[in-house]
Amino acid sequence: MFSRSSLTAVAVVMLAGGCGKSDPGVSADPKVAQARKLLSDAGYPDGKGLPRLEVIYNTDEYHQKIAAAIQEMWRVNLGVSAELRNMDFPVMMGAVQSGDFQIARQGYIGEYADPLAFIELFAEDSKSNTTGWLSPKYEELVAASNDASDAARRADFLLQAENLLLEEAPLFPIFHYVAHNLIKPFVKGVYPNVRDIHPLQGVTLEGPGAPKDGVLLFNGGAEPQSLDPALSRDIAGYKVLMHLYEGLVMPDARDGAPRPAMAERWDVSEDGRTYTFHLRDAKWSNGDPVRAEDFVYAWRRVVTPATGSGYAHRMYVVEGAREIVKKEKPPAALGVRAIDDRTLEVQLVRRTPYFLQLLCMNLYFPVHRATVEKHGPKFVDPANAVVNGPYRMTEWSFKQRKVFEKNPGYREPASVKLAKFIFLAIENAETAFNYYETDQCHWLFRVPLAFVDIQRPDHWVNPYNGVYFYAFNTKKKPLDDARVRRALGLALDREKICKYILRGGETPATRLIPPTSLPK
Amino acid sequence: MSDAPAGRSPTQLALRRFRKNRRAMVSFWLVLAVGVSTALVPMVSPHDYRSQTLERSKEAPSGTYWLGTDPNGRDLMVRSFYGGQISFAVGLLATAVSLVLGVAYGATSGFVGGKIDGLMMRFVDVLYGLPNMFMVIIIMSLLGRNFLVVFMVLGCFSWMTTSRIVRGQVLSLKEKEFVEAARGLGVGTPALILRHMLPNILGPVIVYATLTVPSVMLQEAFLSFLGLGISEPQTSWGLLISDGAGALNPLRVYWWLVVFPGSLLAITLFCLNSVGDGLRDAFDVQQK
Repeated sequence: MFSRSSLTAVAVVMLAGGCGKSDPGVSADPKVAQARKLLSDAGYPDGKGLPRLEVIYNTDEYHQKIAAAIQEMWRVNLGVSAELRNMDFPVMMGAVQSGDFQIARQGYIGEYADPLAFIELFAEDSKSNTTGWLSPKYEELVAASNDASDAARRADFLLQAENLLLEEAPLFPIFHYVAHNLIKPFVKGVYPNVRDIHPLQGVTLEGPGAPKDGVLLFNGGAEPQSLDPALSRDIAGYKVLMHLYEGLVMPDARDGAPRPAMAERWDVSEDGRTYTFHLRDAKWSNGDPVRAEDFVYAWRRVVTPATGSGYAHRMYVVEGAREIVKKEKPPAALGVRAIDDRTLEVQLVRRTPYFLQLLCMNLYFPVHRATVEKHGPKFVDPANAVVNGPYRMTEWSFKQRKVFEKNPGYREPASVKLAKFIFLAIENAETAFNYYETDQCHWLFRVPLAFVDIQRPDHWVNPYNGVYFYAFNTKKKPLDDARVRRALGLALDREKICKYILRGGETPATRLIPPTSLPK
Repeated sequence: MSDAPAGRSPTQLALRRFRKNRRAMVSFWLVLAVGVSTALVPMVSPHDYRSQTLERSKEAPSGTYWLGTDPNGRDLMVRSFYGGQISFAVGLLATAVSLVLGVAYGATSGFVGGKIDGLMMRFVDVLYGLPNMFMVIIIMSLLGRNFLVVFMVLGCFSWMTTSRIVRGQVLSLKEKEFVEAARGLGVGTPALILRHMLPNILGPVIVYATLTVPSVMLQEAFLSFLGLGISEPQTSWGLLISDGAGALNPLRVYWWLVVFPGSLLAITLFCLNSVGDGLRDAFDVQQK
């Protein structure tokens, strides 16, 4: 009994006292000096008086290591103390969307390779802007870029907007992503691209080690939030949906750029605001023809407020979409109409050079009206789903696997070389890696931290169109002060984080727009 | 009993028996040594448990870093011992909380008896029926994360078995002659429980307590893993091990990340169990 109580006493003293060995050191880095000055201008010299900050991130080995490094850099460079909280991804997203956070880890992969994809994230209309930061100047610059007719001026406005964003700092970027894939050598017909999008219909399995049953096992990772084309907004969902549905244009396997799909060809008006798409002859998996009316129905469904799409702002380039989402107009006012069964006309609010890239996104996919109306939210279930893409989903075991088989009614059956593939749902990167190494999985799109630097012919590394950043809640003190926000962003050594923690060739980010989306 | 030398209480006799038990004594000194070093090593070491040298992440044990470094380039030796402080503190404090609650509750229930006893024990049944970890998680997410909350909550959910044991003992002791004698001499209820009954039930209680410590340490590790317990840059053995386990893989093995915190935890748990066994043997003569 004696030893217990004395030990306890020692332990408690140690915990209470802590080991206050290092003080904010004077760093030689001019950025750190600037950060310290900003913090002291804001009234918190050496971090004194600054309330304890709370940083949230989703539970994952590498998010944790980065967060711990940031926490330590703030402590050493600024004397700022921060508390880290990890949580499940949906819980974190819930906290972020309801504004119940101070600083949160975020990441964004551009749906198209254009600076605007990233700039729009923090514009007024964006539902992804959870920082509470709004700037009329920023909106003006975005609008000016949309109105600019020549590419150089447009790029200039967008870069100005980016500078403003970094100046006001509702976020601080950490790095620009690099795509890591582990692909077994017998998987042929794979092309690395900046969007890391790989339509599997062109893939073949041949060579030593190829599975005898010809089934490709792909680790799809976490379960998507939704498989409704109008609602899904994560990459996991897109990877599924792009195999089930076919939009007017689809990303090409070689470079992710839009290629003609349901639309055989299209005409663009002089002012760039009217697109007329000529559809191919195609059938839904139940035998019904795919008609222009199906697109009209699907698109109206996206902007109908009752659908509740958190992604509808990506359709604001279509005439009327914004007003419909804001309940100022009825859904029928959307600027899309079926001239006949095979001709679709789209009216845009302005010239949109990246419209075809937008069209690759799942919210522009057609849906089968009768099925949606009959089954409601269950229309995505394998038993009910009616699709027009190269594959049908024949089995969906939640958090286990999804089985995809060739859709016999697809318009171009010869182009589907892979008859069947399975998406596994292994969330833990190490577990997935062990599956891969033991041939229970043929393709990983994420490599565990411990192996990102392995040099092997089956390890594919290429730049990826995305940015990893931390968002501030600018409504909460002391983060409502731009000087504090900038100081926190400046005090980090991103090179070290990339070089020693990530080690996978990621590029340190001092700006939002990744190199893959910068104007050429 | 009449042959025993004068002036020796049963407790003294038991301690003497305990001291003769070599395995228990070695374990006792070992666990004491680990406990003291968790306090001393972080004070003496030139490294801070928080400071990161990212350039030197995952370095194997060397002259500078005796037990190597973790993926963030922190000295593993300091972190292992510092983590021990938290594991020890959580384990011991939570056990203390559960002991106080369990003994008080069980003794009251057993001593009062009757309907109240029945009611109190049904309440324990209800608590048993609730999934333990689930309740802890709910309370933790309501109260927020804090070192104090961790061990209070863990302690508050591990006293039920102790209370059952104590109640059973008190029930049987209540009928014993020496209790009746004490009562006949006019000893009040609190004194009766504290002076006459508690010393007699100490044996099983101590044994159970030594078994509670490791189980609480493991629960803390689980909570921290879920993000509800200890958070960076603080650490505990459980967290160090679960972090290190990620480094066990077919291609590269950063063995020191698991081996050092793992062996500290293993030594501690093993020794605590041995001490518990030794104490049980010492206090419980009939079992021999």
